[in-house]
Parts: sequence; structure tokens; C-alpha cells
Amino acid sequence: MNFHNPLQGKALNFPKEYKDKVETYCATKPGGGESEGPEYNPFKRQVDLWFTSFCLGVNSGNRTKSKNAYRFITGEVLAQNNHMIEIIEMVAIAETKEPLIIGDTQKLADISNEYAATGIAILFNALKYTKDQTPLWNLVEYFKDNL
Amino acid sequence: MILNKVKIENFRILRDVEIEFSSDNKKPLTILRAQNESGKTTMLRALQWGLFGKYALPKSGRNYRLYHLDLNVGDEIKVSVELDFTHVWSESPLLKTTAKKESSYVLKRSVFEKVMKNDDFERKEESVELLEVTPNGYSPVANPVDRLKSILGSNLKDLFFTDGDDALRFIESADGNSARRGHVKKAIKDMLSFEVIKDSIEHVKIIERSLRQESTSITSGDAQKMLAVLDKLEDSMEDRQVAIDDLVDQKDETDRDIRKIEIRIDDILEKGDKEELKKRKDALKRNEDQIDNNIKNRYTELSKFYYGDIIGGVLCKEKIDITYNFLVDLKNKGVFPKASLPFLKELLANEDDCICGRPLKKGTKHYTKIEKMIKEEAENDELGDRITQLRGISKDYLMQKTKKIIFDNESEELITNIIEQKTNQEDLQVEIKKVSNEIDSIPDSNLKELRKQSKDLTETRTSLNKQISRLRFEQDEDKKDYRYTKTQYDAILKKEDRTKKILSKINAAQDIANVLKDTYALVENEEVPKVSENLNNLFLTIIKATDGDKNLGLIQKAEVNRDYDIEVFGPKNRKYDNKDLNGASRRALTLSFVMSLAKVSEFVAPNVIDTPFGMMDEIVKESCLQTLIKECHQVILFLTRAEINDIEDLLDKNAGSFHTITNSAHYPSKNLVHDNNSQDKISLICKCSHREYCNLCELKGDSSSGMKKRATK
Repeated sequence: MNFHNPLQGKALNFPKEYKDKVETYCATKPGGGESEGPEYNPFKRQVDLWFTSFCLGVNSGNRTKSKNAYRFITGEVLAQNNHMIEIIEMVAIAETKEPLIIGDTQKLADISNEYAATGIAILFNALKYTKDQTPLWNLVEYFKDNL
Repeated sequence: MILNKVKIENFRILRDVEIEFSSDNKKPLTILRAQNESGKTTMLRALQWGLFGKYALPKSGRNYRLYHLDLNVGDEIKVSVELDFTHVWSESPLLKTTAKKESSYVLKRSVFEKVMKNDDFERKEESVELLEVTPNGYSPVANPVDRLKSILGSNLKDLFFTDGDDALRFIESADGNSARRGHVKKAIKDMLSFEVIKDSIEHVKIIERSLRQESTSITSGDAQKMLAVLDKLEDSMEDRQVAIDDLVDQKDETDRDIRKIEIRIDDILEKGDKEELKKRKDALKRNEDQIDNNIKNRYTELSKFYYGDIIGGVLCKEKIDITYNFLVDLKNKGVFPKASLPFLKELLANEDDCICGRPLKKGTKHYTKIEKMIKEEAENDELGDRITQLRGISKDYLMQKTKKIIFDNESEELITNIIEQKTNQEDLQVEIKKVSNEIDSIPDSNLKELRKQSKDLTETRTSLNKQISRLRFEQDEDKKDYRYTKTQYDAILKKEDRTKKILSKINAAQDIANVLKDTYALVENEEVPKVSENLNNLFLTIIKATDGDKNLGLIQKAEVNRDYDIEVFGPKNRKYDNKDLNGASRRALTLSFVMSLAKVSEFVAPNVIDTPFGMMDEIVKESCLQTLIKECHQVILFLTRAEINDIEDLLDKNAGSFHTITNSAHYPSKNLVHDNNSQDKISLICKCSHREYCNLCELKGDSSSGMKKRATK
């Protein structure tokens, strides 16, 4: 079932510096390779990692305009996850105090990508939170300690 | 037989040795103290040769020289052993209640040996002289070899002269199980007079037959025919009995094999049936795979938490809160959803005056303005619906999905579940590993093969049982025929006066044969278990495995079984391989067998034992010596100084004769203090006890060890 998706056709981006690393933590590997299971690949898709980055970025309160971003996918992929769209829209409204912002799809995409660009650095630190645990257990520990 | 004295001349390194043995009942011990290589074993051999001749020497003396190595090629020497002993005997050996009698003898055995080249020798015929001590002096025995045989028995050498490891052949044999059983069986049968009884039965049968043959010359034709039938039946019964005995032996052997296989099967089953274990391992593995899948699924659920709605709600709570309040405010202000649109549409539909009183006709400025407003509102309606939705959605988030406690609880529940499942998985992995190890420890297809062997052997046993039953039936039939024919035959003989005398002789011979057969059965059925019981008591006492009725140790029982195997059992009746017993226990077991056999047979003979305590600790050594003193008529022990340690007091109390044997060649390299013809390399004998030393036997350290110096000439 597809939901309302204002980001359809819009680019979802990561800063280029993370290009090679994102796939490491995802089960789906467009570049090829086998998943090692959720302990090592806690995110099913890259968009899942992007969303968590977005949320962490929002939580930090900072947006980063990345000059060197790359599009890893377009927003159609979000249609399967309405909670992601809902949260993006709510954040955008709060951010702009303009309810009709949800009709400005480019603006929505910009806000989302900018928060994700901030959050990805936090997420990568969280994934390596301790030296001797798997990425998933690192996430568990990180969120226990920092949420 | 009790040894009183021995005089040995020129037997290897025993150039001129005389020893008196203790024959005192209260002090039955004779101690011959000697270090290694002093001549202990040579003296044992000399005693055996003196009593039994060349057959007592290794390989019947073929390559066993008797001369001293210092002799030159061409030298000829007379080797002699003279023994003074008392024979304790009974007129009827089978009746143990009969009073014992004593006869004293002097046995002189000598032989001439010439030294040849290449360590070879030429030995002449042995000369044996046996003199019986009578009130009138020494009386030569006419046939000394036969008399010695009746005095000494055929197994005295093996049983009463315990030569180190050689004695262990009763419990372990390099020649295999049947050889070991053979040694035990022979010893028991010799000592318990089995052979005497068997020979007697054969002898009586021969007499009976010859009497019958004798009767044919004086009986009628009918009687002669019946006699021929009787002979034929007798031959047939004897042949059949041999066949039955053979089959019974085969059956017993099969029974033993079945028992062995069953024990092995039990052992394997105790460890576990390999097939069953494999099935168990597979089931455990399936269980483990299921848990592994569950863990993976729980991990997936857990990972989804970190990109799900709750983590989004928690992380973005602040913004959602703002949005909710903002949208509620807009609603309260009527901005979203807009309430004016239906009203405006109604105004245009009526084309009445506006609520302000102005005309509102189509095409008017006001009408056009309201039309534009309606169009703009309609365009924003879809977004408005979504904004209205988002107000509700943000409210839901704030109520349920932005609370950290919810995230913590739900993720914690999953984490706990994962940890529990991982613990279960680890337990299962340990179990799987254990089962795998058990599987690895069981030899492949052993159980299957053993069960097949057991089945085959059981079939063999069934077949043997059938054959035995058939033969026994035929035997019974023949016996009936024999009895019937014999009754007829006896009746004819009775009628004929001239045969009455011979008939009574035949009947007497048959009665004697029956008594002997009963005696044989009695000895086998009653005396052998007695040997076994005595062996058990003595062995457990020596190794201190019992305290009264209470069994203390890993060894709980020893027995001579029906197959003449000496067996030792531990807890739960588990049989030990005799080779697994320690050296002290093996020695103790052998000595216990010898003592038990002597006790049951009531045969009087000296126990001559070479270094019996070498492997025993202080407690077992003392207990072994006490048992020997208690159970044996005469004990002659060859002991090293180390063996004497810890039992000096027992020796003081129980030894009636002491000698020390010293090798003169031990000066000075092996701590011998004085030079007494060290070039001669001969055994020197002195009468020093274990608490004394003299100029012949003094070793370095003796003078400061608390021993007393014995004065010598």
C-alpha cells in the first residue's frame, strides 16, 4: 500500500564522504556482497540508515548544507514507510512554522537531507560506540547512554 | 615336605654353601638376606635342581651351565646338592582326616660337567641317591625317582618355588588365556589329587574289563554274546562321552565369548548407543537451528527499532511537540481546516444579498471575489486535509511514540529475549559438543558388529545344546541298554556256580569305580570353590582391602572361576584385567593362590619365595608377611636389605634361621667393605641376621646404622 509521499521524485542524499561506508551497515548491498546479518548490518536499506541519520540530526538541532552530496536514491522509496514521511513533514512544519511547507516538496527534501547530513556523523560514531561489539550492539549501547 | 638343610657344591657361584632352614612351627621363617646379584636366584635354582633334577632348570638345563665361569676349557667338576628334608604324608591322601605321618630323607643329586670351548659344556647323567632315615640309620630307597615323584607331586616346583615374575603365569601369561588357565587348572588338579583319582578310575576299569574277559572262558555262549554287547555299549558310551565333553567344552567356550561380547556391548551402551546418540545430536541440532533462526529474527526486529517510528518520535519529539501545538493553534483560529468554504459556496448558490446587505449577483465585483476565494480554498484543500491529518498524527506521536520509556521497554524486552535465546543456544551447543565427543569415543559400527557376533554365537550355542541333548539322550538309552544287558548277564553268571567268584570281583570293581567317580565330582564341585574362597580372603587381607566385613577399596573380590581363570573384581562387580593391577597386587594375588591351594589340599611344603616384597609398600609388605607366616608351614624368603626395612620386628619374632649371602665380587665397587677372595666371584654365606653384619657381609654404612657386628672366627 502506497501512502502520501511528498518526496516522490526528490533526491535523497548523503555527504559524499560517507559514500563507501554506508553500504557497510546495510543488509541490501547494491554494490554486491552478502549480508552478515542484522548484528553487523543493522539497517535493511540505505534509506533506513538515512532516516535514522535524519532523526539524529533533528535531535541535535543542526542542519548541514552539504556541498558534496550524492543522491543514493529518490524519495519514492519512502512511500513504503509512512512514519518516515509523517516525521519529515512534522519536522518541516515545526522548522518553518508554515503548514503549507508540506506542499513545497523541494524544501521538504532540502530540510530532510540537511538534517541527515548532520545526523550521519553521529550515527557512524554510534555504530562504533565500543570497540569490541557488533554495530547493532553498539547502537543499543549508544542509545541507552545518550538518548 | 619340610626342608631342614641344604649343602650345595660347585653350583655356578655357590662353591660351598650350607644352610639350615627353620623347621620350628612357632618360627616358620628362614631369612636369606642378599643384595642383587649375590646368588639368590642361583640358590633357588640349586634347590629346585636338587629336588626335581634337570627339568627344573630353564629349558630343562639344555643351555644352562652349572659350572663356575672361572673354570678353564677342559676342566671337569662335580656339581652336587644334598638336601635333608622331612616328608609329611598320610596313608590315604584322599581322606584328609587321616593322621599325618612323617618320614625323613637325605637326597643327594650330583652331576659331572666338563667345560668346553665357546662357553659350551658336556654334562653327564645325573646321579640321584635317596636315603630314608630309619631308627637303624640311613636306608637307601630302591627307586629314588619314583619315590621322589610321590613325595614331591608334579606341581610342587611351580607352586612352592616362587621365582619372581615367573610365578605371575597364574594370573597373566604371554602365551595367552588358555595357557594361563592351563597353569591354574594343572596346579589345582595336581594339588587336589584329581589326577590320582582319574588314574584310579582308569585302573579300576581296566581291571573290570580283564575280569570280564577272564569270565568268557568259563561262561556259556549267551553270556559271551551279552559280554560282547556290553563291551560294544561301553565303547560306544565312552566315545560318546568324549564327544559330549568336547561339545560341552565348545559350549562353555561359546558361553564365555558371549559373556565377553555382552560385557563389551554393555560398556558401549553405558557410553551410549552411537545411532541413538546421532539421532539425539540431530534433534539437538534442529533445536539449535530453530533457536538460531529465532535469534536472527529478534535481531532483525531489534535493528528495525533503530529506524522505526518510535526512535523517530523520540529523537524528533521537540519538533513534533511544536508542530502539534502550532496546528492546534491554527485549528483554533480556524485556519486549518478552513470553515468558510461551505458558507461562501452557499452564498453564491443563493445569489441573494450578502450578509452585509449588498447585492451579490453573478458578475458583480463581490461575486467574482468570492468565486476567486472559493477556487483558492479548493486548491489548498488536499494540503489542508493532510495538515489536519498531521495534527492528529502528531498528537498520536506525542501520546505513544515520543516517550523514551516506551522505546526502552520495548527494546529491552527484545534484548532480554535475545540474551535468553543465546544462553539456550550456548547450552545446546555445549550439549551437542558433549554428544559429539561421546559419538567420537565409540568405535564405528562396533555395536552393530558385536550384536551380530552375539547373535551368531547364540545360534552356535543353541546348535551345540541340541547336539549335546541328542547325545545325552542317546547316552541315556545306551546306559539303559547297558544296565538291562548287564542285569541279564549277571543273572546268567549267578546261575553258573563257577562264575560266582569272578562276578563278585567284577561287582567290587564297579563299586570302586563308582566311589571314585563320585569322589572326582565331589572334589571338583566342592574343593575348587574352597580354593576360590580362600584366595579371595587371603588376597583381600594382604592388600588391606577389607576391614572385617567392610570392603574398603577399589578391589572387592578375587576368585577362581569355573574356567580356571583367576579374576579380580572392583565395585559393581566390574572385572579388572589382571595386567591393570599394580605390581604389589599381582604378587599378592599369585601368593594368595598358592597359599589357598596349599591350605585346601593340606599339602605340607615350604614356600620358597625370591624377593616377594619388591613392589610393596610398608603396609602391604607387613600384611603379606603376616599372612605367609599364618598360612604356610615353612617360609623361606630371599630378601634384599630394602625389603627388610619396616618388617624387622616381624622377622625378629617369626624367623628361626638367618643367613646372609654376599657376592665376593662386590668388593669394593658395590659397597662391600672387606676383600674376601674378590677375584673368585663366589657367593659367601654367613649367619648374620637382618640386625647384624660381619667381616664377610659388611656393607658401607652398616657400622653406623645401628646394626650389631657379629664376631666371626
